[in-house]
This record gives sequence, structure tokens and C-alpha cells, in this order.
Amino acid sequence: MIEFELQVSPSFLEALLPYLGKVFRETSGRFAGERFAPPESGDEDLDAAWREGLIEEGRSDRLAFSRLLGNPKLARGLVEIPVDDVDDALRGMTELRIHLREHGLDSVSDEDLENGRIRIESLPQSVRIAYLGYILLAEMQERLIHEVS
Amino acid sequence: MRLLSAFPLLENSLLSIIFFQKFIISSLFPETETLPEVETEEQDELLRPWKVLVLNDPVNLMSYVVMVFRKVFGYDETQATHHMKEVHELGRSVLWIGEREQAEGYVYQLHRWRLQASLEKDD
Repeated sequence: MIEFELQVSPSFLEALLPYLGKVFRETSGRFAGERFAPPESGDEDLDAAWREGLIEEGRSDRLAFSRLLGNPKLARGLVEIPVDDVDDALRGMTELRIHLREHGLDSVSDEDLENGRIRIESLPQSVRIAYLGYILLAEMQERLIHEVS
Repeated sequence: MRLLSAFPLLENSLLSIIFFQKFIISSLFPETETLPEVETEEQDELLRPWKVLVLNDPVNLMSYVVMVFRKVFGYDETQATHHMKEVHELGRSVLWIGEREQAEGYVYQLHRWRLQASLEKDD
């Protein structure tokens, strides 16, 4: 079991975790299969197997991430995750970050996002919460990768 | 033929030699068997080298990309970091070159990790 504490205030988490849970439930369970096209092969069976494989394997990613998100300790800033769930949860988080980037944060430029040169107080409320969720997921990923490497 | 029939022993030994030669040639050079043209073109396509490319994306963390490269390709930290930087600075990096089937396997794994990856012929 991997455990670590996020350096985030509980009030921050109180606002963000329900938001992330809501956005996560809204995302499609078919995300990976719909987004990542197989290399052109002219073989319809291969294409279908590719997409279905990504969708099928994506389910375990979503499950691992939802277990992590649903753990009551997370509300206190404590991340607790079985080692076997780490890869899946990392992929699940990536999926949600891509979704946030393309929906909640579509008005923010790649450059600003990458450099972190964003004045949070200047963002509209809906963009602000998406940005904070995006940052929180990045922090969790960074810590998880550090813990397993 | 008539000459050979007149000398059955000679005929048998000559046929044996010819058969033996054919056997040796087909064993050593199985690709010399005649295949339909389309089939050989497909085989050529599969055997020629393909590049596995990873494209930059604004979402994934550098540490995440390095970790994925290590897991998928078995690269060490230095190699994986080199490719990650190439993706970040140049917009793309060639991660692997080789046969199509294996290259497809790598692209699938990269897609599984939600990285933008594709195949390109290595001309």
C-alpha cells in the first residue's frame, strides 16, 4: 500500500473533490477508444480490436481512479492506494486531466498552462475550479510517480 | 530422357542429385518460393522499418512521460528523459524503429497510457 499526504488545505479539498467526482462521472468510459485511432492498416477487424481493447482496458483505469477518489481519507489529504492500482489510477487521472484541459480550460492557452503563469483570481469561477482540479491531479500524479520510482 | 532411360542407375542418381539440390535450396532460401505478387508486397510492407513517434501534448507531466517511456520501451532514466525532452522541445520524438507488428504493439501501449503516438514509414 502506498500512502502519502497532500500539502493541500482540507477546505480546498472539500470544494475540489466533489467537483472532480462530478466531472469524472460525466466523462465517457469509451474515452481512450474514441480518442486514440489505430495506425492506418486497412484492416477493419484490427481497427475495431484496437479501439475495443483500449475501451476495455480503460475500464480498470477508471475503476482504480474512482476507488482512489472515493476513499474518505482523501478528503483529509491522505492518498492511500494499493501498489497494483497505481498504473491504472495514473492513467485514469491523465484521462480526467485531458478532459479538463479540453472542456473546463479550453479558454486558457497551452503556454500559460504549461508555465503556470495564470492569475487564479482573474479566472472566471468555472475556469478557476477546473484549473485547481487540474493542478491537484497533477500534484497527485507527481507524488505517486515519485513514490513508485 | 531417352538417354537416361537407357541407363536407369544413372537416371536415378541424377534425379537424386536434382532432388537433393532443390531440397537444399528451398531449405536455405525459403523466400525463393514463388508467392502471389500482392502477398509479397504485403510482406515487404510489414518487414520494412517503421518508426514509433510520440507527439507533444500540453497535458502530460514530464515525469509521467519519462515513466511511460521507461515502462513501455525499457529505457533507462537518461534515455527516457532524452526522448521526453525531444518531444517537449521539437514536438515529436522517434522512440523506436523496427518491424510494423512490434511497432503497432508499442503504439497501442502508448495509447493505453493516453500519449499521442503514431507510426511512420522509415524512409
